[in-house]
Amino acid sequence: MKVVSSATLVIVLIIYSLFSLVSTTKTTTTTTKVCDVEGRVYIPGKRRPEQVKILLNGGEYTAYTLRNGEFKFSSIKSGIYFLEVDSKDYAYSPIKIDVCTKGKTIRAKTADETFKTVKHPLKLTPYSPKVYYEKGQPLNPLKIFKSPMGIMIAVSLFSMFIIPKLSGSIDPEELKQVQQESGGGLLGKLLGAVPNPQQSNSGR
Amino acid sequence: MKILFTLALLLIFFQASFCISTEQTKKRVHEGIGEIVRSDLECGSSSGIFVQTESNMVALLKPKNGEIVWKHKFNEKEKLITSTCSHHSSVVLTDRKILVVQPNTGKVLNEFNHNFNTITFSKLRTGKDHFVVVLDDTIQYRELKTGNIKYSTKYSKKEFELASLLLNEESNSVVVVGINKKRKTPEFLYLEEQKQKEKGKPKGTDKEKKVNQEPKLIKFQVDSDNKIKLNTKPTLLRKQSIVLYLDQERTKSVNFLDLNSIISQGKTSKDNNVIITVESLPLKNLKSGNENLQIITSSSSHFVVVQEQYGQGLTKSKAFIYKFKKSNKKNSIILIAEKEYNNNKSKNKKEKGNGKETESTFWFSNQRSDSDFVTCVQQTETKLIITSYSSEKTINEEIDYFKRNDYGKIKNVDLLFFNLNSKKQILPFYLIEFEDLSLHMVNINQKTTKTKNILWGREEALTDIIDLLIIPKKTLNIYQNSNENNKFDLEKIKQSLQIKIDESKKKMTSFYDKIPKSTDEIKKHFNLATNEIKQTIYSIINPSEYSKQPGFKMDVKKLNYVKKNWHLKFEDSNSQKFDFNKLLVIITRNGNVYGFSTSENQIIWKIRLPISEKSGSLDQIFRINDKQIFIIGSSNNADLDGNNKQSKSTFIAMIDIVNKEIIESKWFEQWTAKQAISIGLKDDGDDDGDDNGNKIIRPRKVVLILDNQGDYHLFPKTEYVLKSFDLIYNQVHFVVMNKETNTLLCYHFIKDDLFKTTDNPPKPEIKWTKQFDKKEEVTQININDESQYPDKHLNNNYYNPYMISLLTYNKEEKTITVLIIDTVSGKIIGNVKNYDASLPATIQHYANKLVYHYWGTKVKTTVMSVIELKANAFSSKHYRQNKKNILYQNRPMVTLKKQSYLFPSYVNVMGVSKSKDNVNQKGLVLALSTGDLFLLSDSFLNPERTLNVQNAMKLGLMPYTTYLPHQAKNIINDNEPVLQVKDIKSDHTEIESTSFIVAYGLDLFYDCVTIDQSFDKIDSQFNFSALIITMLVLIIALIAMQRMKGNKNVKTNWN
Repeated sequence: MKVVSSATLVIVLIIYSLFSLVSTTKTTTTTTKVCDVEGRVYIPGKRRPEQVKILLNGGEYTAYTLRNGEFKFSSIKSGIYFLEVDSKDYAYSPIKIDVCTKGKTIRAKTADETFKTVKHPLKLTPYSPKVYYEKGQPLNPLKIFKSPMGIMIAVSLFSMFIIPKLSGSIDPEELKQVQQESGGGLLGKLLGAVPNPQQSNSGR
Repeated sequence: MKILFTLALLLIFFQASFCISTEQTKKRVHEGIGEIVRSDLECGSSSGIFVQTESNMVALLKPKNGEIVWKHKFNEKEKLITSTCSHHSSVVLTDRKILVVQPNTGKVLNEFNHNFNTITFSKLRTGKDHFVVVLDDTIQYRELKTGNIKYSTKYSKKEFELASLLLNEESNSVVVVGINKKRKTPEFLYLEEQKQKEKGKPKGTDKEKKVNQEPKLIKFQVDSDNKIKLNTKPTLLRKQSIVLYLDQERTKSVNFLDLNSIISQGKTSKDNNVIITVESLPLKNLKSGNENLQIITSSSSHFVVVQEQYGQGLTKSKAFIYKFKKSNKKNSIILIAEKEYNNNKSKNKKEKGNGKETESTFWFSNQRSDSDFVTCVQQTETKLIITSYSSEKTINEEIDYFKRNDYGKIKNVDLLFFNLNSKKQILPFYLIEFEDLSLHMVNINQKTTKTKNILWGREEALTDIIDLLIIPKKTLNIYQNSNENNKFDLEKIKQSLQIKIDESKKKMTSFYDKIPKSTDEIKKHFNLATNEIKQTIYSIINPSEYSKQPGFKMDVKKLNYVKKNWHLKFEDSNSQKFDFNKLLVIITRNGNVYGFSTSENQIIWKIRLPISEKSGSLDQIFRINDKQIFIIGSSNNADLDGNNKQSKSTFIAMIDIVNKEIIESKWFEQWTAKQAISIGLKDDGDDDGDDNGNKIIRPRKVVLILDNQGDYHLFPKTEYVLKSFDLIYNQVHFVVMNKETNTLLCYHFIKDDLFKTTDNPPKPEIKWTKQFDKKEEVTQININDESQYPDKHLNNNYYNPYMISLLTYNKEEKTITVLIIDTVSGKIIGNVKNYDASLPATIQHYANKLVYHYWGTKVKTTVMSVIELKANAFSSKHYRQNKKNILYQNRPMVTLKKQSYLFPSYVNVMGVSKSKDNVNQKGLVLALSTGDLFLLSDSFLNPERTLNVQNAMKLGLMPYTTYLPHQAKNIINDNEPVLQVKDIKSDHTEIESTSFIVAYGLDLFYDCVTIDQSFDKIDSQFNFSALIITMLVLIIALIAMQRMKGNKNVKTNWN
């Protein structure tokens, strides 16, 4: 009985070791799966873009663009990576790259709101130049006149230059009529460039 | 008159707008490179010093002023192995790839990945387009431009073990030195490049050319009969083509291999393998036993053999400087000089480049200059002695500026040759790195031996910041050029001198007594003073200039300069806007305390603490009051012999930052500080004066340290502090993290007696504990800053000053957990678990909000979350009614609201802004992997944000978006990258809308930021031009009206 049990134990051990060997070889083959990630950084209007640093997963892998803007990450382990372009002048969308998780294909998508598919080798174009400072408002006369300041200017100018002229051009009789109709109200006072003889007499 | 008035107004407006733009362009970055590992590399005659540093980076420094031309930082996961540089290109080798860099611009010309295990490469040769890489079984000649293999030669890995690589620049040959594994004898692989075909001969095809140019590999062994064991690094006598190696185990002999004759003969023989035993060399008093023999360095014809004798903690070293003489008939060796010196810590020695680092002595060979000499750089108590040996003469140079107290001991010295002047003369320079990580470039003119000069100094310790304090200038007259001290007052100088005299009476008293009263006389007197006194005076009257130019000699011109610029400097410092003027008190790991002025962008004072004696480091800094700071440090190992590494001792120091002096510094051997906190004392309202009416500076805060024996210590240890603590001890809750057991412990203080009548001091006792799973790593503990509570309780916001937040990381489960704990009860208020998460993660706790970020392993981007603490509606009402008589038990119930967002960048660290009255919107500063500091307004992080646009508009909030905005205008450091940020700190300014931000890591960055342009700052949309035009129109109208007042019609009309 003892012999049988020890024999079965040996068999079980052998089978287990074989299984474990197979599983380890499997794992080693999966972990050693590597691919190259290539691409090119473009800047519109520039044949030779300035050198930029490309980062995978915040710097786990780094690459620099060469003279023509090309870059290459060699022997990248399969997995999903986050690619950033460290450019000081232009803003590029970050990219999520699926490196060989399914077969040997490399799939990529922008990792911001746009969710655009990017083909491999990656063609990276900036979406805008980086503007660090807010630009001051340019001089726009229309905007000035629309603003409260503009209205303030207009009203003050109107009251200073236009109203006296208006009162001068009105027929004195018509003016008297208007003043009488308004009963010496605000309009009457405003137009009262020619004083009302009755009011002036009573005042004295 | 009116026109002038108008112009003046216009000028004021333009100046206002101009001031804002200059504020933005102010230099706010103090760039650092870190501790230098290799600096013996030169890039051309004057283009720069190529350095490799401990912080995994390569950089180029300007030889004229030490400024950084460019730097390449590698990720921590990518290890930088070695780098080399020549006139036209530099090659950087990491464990993943080889980079070919343009030395002047830092532009990467080419990079290629590799998967080599053992690797070394040769120095680059002038005019050559390739470099030699030696792998564990191949020798490769690689092209610089493409990185492609030009030639490749294999060697047997089983037989040959690589030891080193020697490059003979004279003959363009490479010697690979190794050991034959079977025979255990030295073996050499000699690669000589074939010379180009002579001119006039017909040119062959490209293929033929390559074949012709391929280097010839010759393998040779040292005479097998003579069983020599190679156990030291061989060195090369360059011009002589002679390899020196040493065998000390068997025969104690210095061996020479004549390469030229070996190559011509094709094998080694007795003629070309010159073996000279030690006994035959004029080495004196050589004893067997505790001794070591090494070849330190060699120049074209000189070499140095150092004999070390170990004693009890002391090593005696003797150097023998030889000259090798080669003639057709016989090779001979002549002893030129010998030098004896002591090394205190021989165990710490290590080899670096071609010089050997010991405690204070460095040896160099002259590789570049035509004149052939060997140099020894030695540090004494107060001097730096540089001795050059050549066969004709010995030159001794002394630099008395380098004091041990200021810089510590020398860490490394490198000899460089540069052509800095327009003259064609190439001069030797010494790049000296001290224990405090300061880097100095010293120039010694060989022809005029009296001229010695320190060209520049860099404070690299700022790359090793442990902690810092932000002190506003208004609180303290820290600067010498403050209101009172501003005047160039001789009396003030005298008073300051008096303080210095107390320190060094013997040296200074005679000089002080003779100080005359008038300025003319003092000028004469300065000329008579010794250098040390001049420097002391200079350091008192102008410390900032002094630190900029160490070794600055006082003369009449400079004295006048200081006097002239005295007022100017003061005016300049007072014209700062937005309270930019701060003093950063910085502590670094290696025991330095710096005062860094943000307005001057430089270190204005420095204090070195005595921690190196126990190889200790500084840990924490606290502010006691406006003038005093408290520092805690610890020793790495208590016993230098390594017998008891576990027991640590604690270091404390009190520093007066006004007078820049150490009040107290002490080592405590009996206990180790577990945790230290700063607690505020109650103001008793008493006058701070002694019997004589002098004002006493009382601490506003005290430092409470809990030690490993369960006891506590209060600093500063005064009666006043002990009495004050007796009043507040029952409010103190002390949270300590025990990393060994992964437990969080909370201590509180109790008294033995019930009625608290006795004078017994309170004792610390554990109130509650929280045991974490071993897999859970507590990465951050954040204590809520009570001073940052807004003075309002709107919308049922929950504020609790006794609250802490913890961030834990579980590597196996890939989870990040946020815990909110009430320290009084030990109750967990909130527990939020985030799946598919990994580090880097930071938590920031302010007011009633908790903001944290982590790296989402599934979403592959940074996830930012906000938790808002709201008081339960019913209990909150009760709480508000009983606000005056609130008991802890009456605290309202808490409800948590959480919302998460994605941030499309890799965030390393996060900080939060502080404002004066806490009314303004908070800002979060995110340190990105690209070196940018991104400012994100707190308004984006609000759990009330909804997807429904109308509802959001009603609530006055932004509608919910998954992604947080990422715009360049929110990058506060513009295009100046701040690398490897460790922490971000903030302080309020005098303006509510503005916060002061400091980020430190490899670089130091500081700036004032405006999160929400409201309250006291004009909106960015404000139109200055419209204001100017309005003013102009009104002025014109005013003038017109004044002219019109003479008009009769108008007069009558208005009347």
